[in-house]
Amino acid sequence: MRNPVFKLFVAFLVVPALSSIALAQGRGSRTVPPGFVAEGVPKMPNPPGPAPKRDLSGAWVGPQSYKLGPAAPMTPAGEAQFKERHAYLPNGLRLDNGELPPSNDPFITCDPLGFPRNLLAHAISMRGGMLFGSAPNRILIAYEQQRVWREIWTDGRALPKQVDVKGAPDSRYYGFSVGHWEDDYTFVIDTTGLDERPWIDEVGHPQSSSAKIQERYTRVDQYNMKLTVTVDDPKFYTKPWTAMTADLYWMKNQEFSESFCIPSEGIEYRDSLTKPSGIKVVK
Amino acid sequence: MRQAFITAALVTLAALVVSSVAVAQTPQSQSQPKQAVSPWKYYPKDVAVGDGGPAPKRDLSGTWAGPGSTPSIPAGTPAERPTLTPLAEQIMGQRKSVGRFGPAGTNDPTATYCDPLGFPRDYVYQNRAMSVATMPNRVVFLFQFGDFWREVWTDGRALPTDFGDNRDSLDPTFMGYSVGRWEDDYNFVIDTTGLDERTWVMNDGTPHSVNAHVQERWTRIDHNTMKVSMTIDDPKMYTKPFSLGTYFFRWVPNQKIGEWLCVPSETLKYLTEQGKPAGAFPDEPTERRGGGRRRGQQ
Repeated sequence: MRNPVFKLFVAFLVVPALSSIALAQGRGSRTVPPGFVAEGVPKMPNPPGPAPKRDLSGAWVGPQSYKLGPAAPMTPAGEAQFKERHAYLPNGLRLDNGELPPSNDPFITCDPLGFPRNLLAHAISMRGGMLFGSAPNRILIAYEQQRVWREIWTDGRALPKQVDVKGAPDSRYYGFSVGHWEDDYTFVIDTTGLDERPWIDEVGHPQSSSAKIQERYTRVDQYNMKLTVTVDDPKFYTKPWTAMTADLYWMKNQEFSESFCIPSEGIEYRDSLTKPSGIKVVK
Repeated sequence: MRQAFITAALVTLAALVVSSVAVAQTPQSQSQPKQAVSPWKYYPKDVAVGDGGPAPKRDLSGTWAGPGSTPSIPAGTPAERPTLTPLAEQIMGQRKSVGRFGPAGTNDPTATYCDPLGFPRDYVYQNRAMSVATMPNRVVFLFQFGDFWREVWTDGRALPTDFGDNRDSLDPTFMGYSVGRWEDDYNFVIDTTGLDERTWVMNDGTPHSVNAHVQERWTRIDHNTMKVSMTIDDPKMYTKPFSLGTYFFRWVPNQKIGEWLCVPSETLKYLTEQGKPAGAFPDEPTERRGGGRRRGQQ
């Protein structure tokens, strides 16, 4: 059972490189054993009870059965950013000679994934976890992956209009977020002020610090929740687009494992295995 | 402000070397405005005044400023100097701290790669701001540095003991396995074990085994103040338990703290372009002082 973190990182590198199917089809394509809704996700008693009102608290498995993109056409500024980014698997394309292009994915060195890319689980199981909780005036979301957290303010404050200018806050990998209940079962989170270095997705689409990302969590019943993530970023895209739709399922034991991408392991892997194997990596 | 992250990485390293100077120049301090105007910014010098009234019962939740964030944080007590077993001495002989060897010569995994500090070093060395929240069956600590969180189970479960290679053994973790209980209305006691042996207990490289047992005693003194006293017991590494220090926290008025991430690619760039060319410090005789923050090192 040792070294799960290293496995996680290896998985990150190997899965996108070898399996576009895994990303394109999520977890739905795998064989699901009896008693499970998906591999590694125990089934809760049926039928589920009704969804509690205005309450997402607890630990959830996901995203599952997700669909990513497609991204909207980019503006020239967006295209300029995008062409500088070299994913391990840029939409399944390879160079003319059949090789993968050299990747400069920042997660190679375990740089922070940032939001919203961190919503997609990078573990080999393609299974992540989210813990919803609360503190005064805010909803907290703690993620299994990288063990990072976000806070969603619910006190009615407006999002910052600008970042990275005098008097305004600095942009952040996980942005600034406010949330509200649209009705008793749908919680909507709006986020902006994102750092522009992280990739918005696996293929390297860009995000500007003025991008507005919206998450809609709809609690369908006691054990099921649906998530839709949309991106509105006129600086880089010609129109808003849906970055992800996915399902979340109630985590039976409500406990997370610890899933870190450890930089020293990632860098050792890059230098001792990836480079000698011939997969090009850009520093 | 992209430079903030590079600065953060530099500070991570430099704070170990010239602590008081580095801390005085942290991004937060530099960004201190004349007056607080944004609900989205963390103003470390905007501190709570007075005691804020009596301490609420059985409640640590809220957002807190910790050691090193501002001079108004009460001085705590530094960690004691442990007496090491021969095994621990052997491990210490292989560890090169930033303080002794500099950025070019250190093998501190955090300074070299941004590896997570892990527990308890994330309290002993670097916990300038954090939030605490109560969630179902657990208390959660959410740190500014690294954006990491840690959970403490309060459902009465026992601490795990099997971190071996059996099928059902638990994996060691950077944050460990923690259970907590309210000893009375104002004292919350946390026991932690199962810590990944790669992590350092203190900046000098003090090692621990996976079976190390860390105990934290959190005391809510009043509404605006709380403190934690920490001890560690690890017969494999130390001849007797010792104190990891006492640290104070003060209520943050707008309940907002910053995002402070150690970005590995930036640390690598810094080391390549500046740290390594500067050369390692000359190796000096070991003078072990313990790793806690001292008075005047805020």
